[in-house]
Amino acid sequence: MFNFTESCQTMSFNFAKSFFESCQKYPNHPAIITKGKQLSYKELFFEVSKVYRFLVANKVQDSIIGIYAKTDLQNAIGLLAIAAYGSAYLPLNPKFAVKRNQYIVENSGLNCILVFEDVSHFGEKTLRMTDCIPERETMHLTPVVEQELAYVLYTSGSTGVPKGVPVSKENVEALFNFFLTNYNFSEKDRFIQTFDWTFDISVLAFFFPLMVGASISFLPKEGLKFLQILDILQKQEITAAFLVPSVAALSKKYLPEIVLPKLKYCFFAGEALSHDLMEIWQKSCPNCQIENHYGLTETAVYITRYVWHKTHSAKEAFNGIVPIGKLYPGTKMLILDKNNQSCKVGEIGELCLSGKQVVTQYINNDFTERFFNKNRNGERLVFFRTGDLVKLNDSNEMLYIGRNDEQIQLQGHRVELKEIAFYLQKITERLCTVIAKKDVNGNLFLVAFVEQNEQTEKDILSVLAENINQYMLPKKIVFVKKMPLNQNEKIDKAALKKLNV
Amino acid sequence: MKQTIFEEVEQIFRTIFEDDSLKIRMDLTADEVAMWDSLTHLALISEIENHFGITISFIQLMAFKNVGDLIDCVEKNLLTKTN
Repeated sequence: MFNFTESCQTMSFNFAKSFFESCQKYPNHPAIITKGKQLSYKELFFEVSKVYRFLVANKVQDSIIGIYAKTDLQNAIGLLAIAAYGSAYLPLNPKFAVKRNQYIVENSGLNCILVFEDVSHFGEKTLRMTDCIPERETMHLTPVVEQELAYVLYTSGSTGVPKGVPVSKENVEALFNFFLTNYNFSEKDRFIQTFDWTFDISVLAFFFPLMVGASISFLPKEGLKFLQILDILQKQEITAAFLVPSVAALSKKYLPEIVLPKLKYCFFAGEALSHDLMEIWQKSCPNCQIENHYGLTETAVYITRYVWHKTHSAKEAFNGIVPIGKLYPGTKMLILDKNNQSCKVGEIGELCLSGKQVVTQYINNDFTERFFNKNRNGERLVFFRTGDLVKLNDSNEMLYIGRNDEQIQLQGHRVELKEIAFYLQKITERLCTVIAKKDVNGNLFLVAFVEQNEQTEKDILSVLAENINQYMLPKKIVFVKKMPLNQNEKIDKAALKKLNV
Repeated sequence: MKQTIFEEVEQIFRTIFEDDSLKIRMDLTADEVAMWDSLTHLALISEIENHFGITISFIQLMAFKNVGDLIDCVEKNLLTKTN
């Protein structure tokens, strides 16, 4: 009934193209496992074609289509349909504050937002999906719109507003080629997708398995995430997982009771990876190759790789933290000091990146200071300033040292502390700052310091929650009579850090 | 015994969530409490283990769907301990 081949042939690299190829090879193989049910490649294709046909019927001409969907399955189907249509997708997150989603829509100039149930936030821009039964001729899902971009994601921004990262099909193709070249995944593999669709690792965790005909398990909507992940890793015998180190850190106490013999690959990223923690993790998954990857939304997910090893990594770890390793092929880097001079081996500097995976601008050409041109061997390259401080060790492995600003990674999420402080200041009209502290188990949490006014902690948090994401909310607000200032008349964060909260 | 456990667990919830007026129910779930995330959950379990002098296993932890399950587990572990 379906002619997947014709759908494939008309496309250059596209998420949907790879998916169609798998549909052709493995039509009855499970593609998605969610809420105890399986959806085969053929069944998933059918669902995708419904949304595709709906876009055709509505004569959508937008090169970027927003998607606001409450379930993983709706997102999965919608993203594949948008890709098949030829447009780029921009995911909006129902868990985000309404104002944040509205800002993203406005800033990106989105005019069409695909939704699957009634939503009032986006007015006339809303395109509410209705049942559309595909006819036979719509089985060839050829692109209607020509678009170089694959997707646009918004990340936390220090100026108080998120910034849009446009990632091209060429950027993603380079990333996927790395995984196709370096690993031998097949239709027998079982992956897990644990990330919000607004989080860049979801791109790899969702689209890559579909490329090789593997299955993907989604998490149930209810309950605590790290427990659900462990449950699925164990019960569904997952063979490959993209995870943030927090999952291992939160599970640490229980790891001696957990056995994951089927797990072949664990790709950690998003936070500092502790060597000691990996020794414990490896005992739970004895047949697993543990890898530490590094990347940013601006580098199309991951861009460096380090293969963890019990003995070698103990020597190579810096302050107990595993290196982020070497760059993927085809990427160029500079490590620059404060005077923009290249650092020598062992010297700490800012990592600047260029190459096929690296974006060369933000949406609306904002934050141009984060990009610069440099001639290298007669070639003019655009480099992106990551803001991450790194150094090379004697084996030329990169070590992550920290940030040169106030960005942190909170359970894998990229969080600009200044963005939270920006809103706090707006709400309280007092001096405010936000500090990341560690609990007894080494897990980061946020504490806000605010100069006392008549507002209570509850008042402030409820208004703050309307503007920033749940995971960015401080665990505690500490009121101070007068904010301590340093010699430069700036908030003395060192003094605040010493306070016992 | 269950009522005593319930009251003591409620007090632990109030300490962890820093909310003296917090009332728990047997069918209360993590999804209903805004600040009940993975970190808070672990802090809660740890405090309950210390308070009652018990150890909650991974299998028991995975079986919790609501506060009622947690209280049943505490009761079961206390009975095992006294026997």
